[in-house]
Amino acid sequence: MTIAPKAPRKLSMKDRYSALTRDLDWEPSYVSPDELFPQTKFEGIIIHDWSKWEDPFRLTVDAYTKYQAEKDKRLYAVLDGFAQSQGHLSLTDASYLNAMKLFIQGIAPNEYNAHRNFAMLARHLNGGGPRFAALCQCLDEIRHAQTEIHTLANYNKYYGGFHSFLHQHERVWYLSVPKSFFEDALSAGPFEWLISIGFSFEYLLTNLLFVPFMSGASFNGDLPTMTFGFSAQSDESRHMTLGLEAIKFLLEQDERNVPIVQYWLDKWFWRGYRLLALVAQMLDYMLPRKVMSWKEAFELYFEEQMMNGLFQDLAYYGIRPPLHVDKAIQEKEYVSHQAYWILYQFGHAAAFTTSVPTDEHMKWLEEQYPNTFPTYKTLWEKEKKNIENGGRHFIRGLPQLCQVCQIPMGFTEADDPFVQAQRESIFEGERYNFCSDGCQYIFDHEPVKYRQAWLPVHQIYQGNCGGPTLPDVLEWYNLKPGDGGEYLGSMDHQNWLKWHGEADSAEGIDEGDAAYAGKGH
Amino acid sequence: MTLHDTISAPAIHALGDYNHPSRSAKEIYGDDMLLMVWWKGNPWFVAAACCRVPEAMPWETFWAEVFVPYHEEDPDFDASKGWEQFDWFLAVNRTEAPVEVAAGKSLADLGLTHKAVLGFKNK
Repeated sequence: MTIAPKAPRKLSMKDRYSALTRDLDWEPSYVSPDELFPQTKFEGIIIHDWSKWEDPFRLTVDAYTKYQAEKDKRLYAVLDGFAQSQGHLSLTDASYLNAMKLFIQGIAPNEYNAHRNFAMLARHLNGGGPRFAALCQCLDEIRHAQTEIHTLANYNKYYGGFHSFLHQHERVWYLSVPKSFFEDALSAGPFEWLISIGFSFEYLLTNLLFVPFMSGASFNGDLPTMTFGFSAQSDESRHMTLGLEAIKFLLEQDERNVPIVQYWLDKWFWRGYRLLALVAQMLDYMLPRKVMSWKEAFELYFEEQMMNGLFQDLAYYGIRPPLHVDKAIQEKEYVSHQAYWILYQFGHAAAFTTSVPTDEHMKWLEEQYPNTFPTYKTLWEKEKKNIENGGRHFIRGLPQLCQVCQIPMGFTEADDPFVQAQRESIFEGERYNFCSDGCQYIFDHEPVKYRQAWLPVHQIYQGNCGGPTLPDVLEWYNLKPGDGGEYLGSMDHQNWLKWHGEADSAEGIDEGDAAYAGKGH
Repeated sequence: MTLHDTISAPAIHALGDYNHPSRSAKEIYGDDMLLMVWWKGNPWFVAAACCRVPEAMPWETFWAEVFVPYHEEDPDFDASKGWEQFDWFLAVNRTEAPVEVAAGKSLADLGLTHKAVLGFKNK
């Protein structure tokens, strides 16, 4: 009688996961833990037991790569189909792509930055569990950078503003806002990174960033971006879970961590919220077919989900909602109007176009913001008259910038929509300007860090941006004709009309033709 | 003019020495300074202007060569009414300290220093 060999015992999912991740970890024997992990003490965070980290997801590398490869296959099939069928012609309007220009210039390079820092965490955190979680997110982030760039590359063949997104990310004034945000986090310690990006950005604010962009794509015929959004969605869910686990882990390890984490929350909520001013204006002004207003998005994704949900849970650990959140709630009524008004006035130095809202668009804005939009409508009415008289509101100089968020100081006092907030602090004999109490609070706690800010306006005046004149600076930005300025009459607009058989109506349009701009679109 | 600090140096948590200079210190600009010029209550200009100007620039030169070309972009601005049409002040947080602008005075004479906010509003 022969006896069949016993089949090898199959490990349970949980055991297999442990065997391939945490069980590969070891205790160092010929170096001390402090020598091996030199970055996890200086921030003041105290960790007693790294094994208490609850792995937020149980993926092994082989399962991870299999899932991601399947998602990539689906995405690249859509990209091919869209390109071959001239899918860009089925967008709602060429002006929709302004939102995507902002996305590729501002967000895609920061996906790569996120990849870099999670790679650092995958090396430098003491625990095997958090190191593996950081490794997975590090891989996600570089995949996102690559897929976003590939998704939007197709538009570069036909539209302005896409050709030099990385070059411009490093140089252009409005892109210093997302760039400095991420570089602030990159230059912090590993635990602050976990709270700044892992928790505040990926959990607290991520729905306000990704849902508007991806829903905007869906509503405006951008199938590739929508597919990218679906492809990234399961990753984002994991990132949210990791962010939540990170904050709970730090808070549970030692109560002396609570005030440190609270300060980081105060700081990174406000830094992230200020960055989202770009998303607010995108939702309310850049999408030809609207998804929802910024105010609605803020109420749903922040006030309802975070203020009424998350922060009630975190109160158990002694964490309160971030400082200055009351100001953010007030600003939901007007921040998008102010942010777009900034971009509109400096649109001649941008790699996207802007335009006066049409009458129909203004009606929608009035419906969404009955208490505040009438105030801003008076500005647009004045601008329409200005255009009729041959003008177009492009500022003839450079603006005051906030030392912390780096946005032109166009945000107003809560009690007066016509008075921009002015704040200043003096440190070691030098004055610094801020747009808000939130930004001043951050500077006052870390003046040595923020006095190094590379403020684009100051750098232009120091002669570090290509030369003293506007054309010098625009050349240094690598802006090409048709990239920025007024949308109506722009290269994108003229091509759009031509491709849709409406070229006759575009006859006589020159780039930046202000008279035409007054006719609406 | 020496400015008095409004904040003290907080503790720094870093791996090594961390004390880097400002990227926009007055010394970088030589005899010039950056001056913020803010039309309070007029949202046509979305933010205050940031200008690089010599500290010794006479007020009337500043008005004619810097102020007017910038603000003429507002169709409601009438340069011919002169600087007397505005109240001028130094903006510090939410406070306003009056500034008596006059021909013959330099910007430094008016008490304007690097990155100060020169505010003005319609009378």
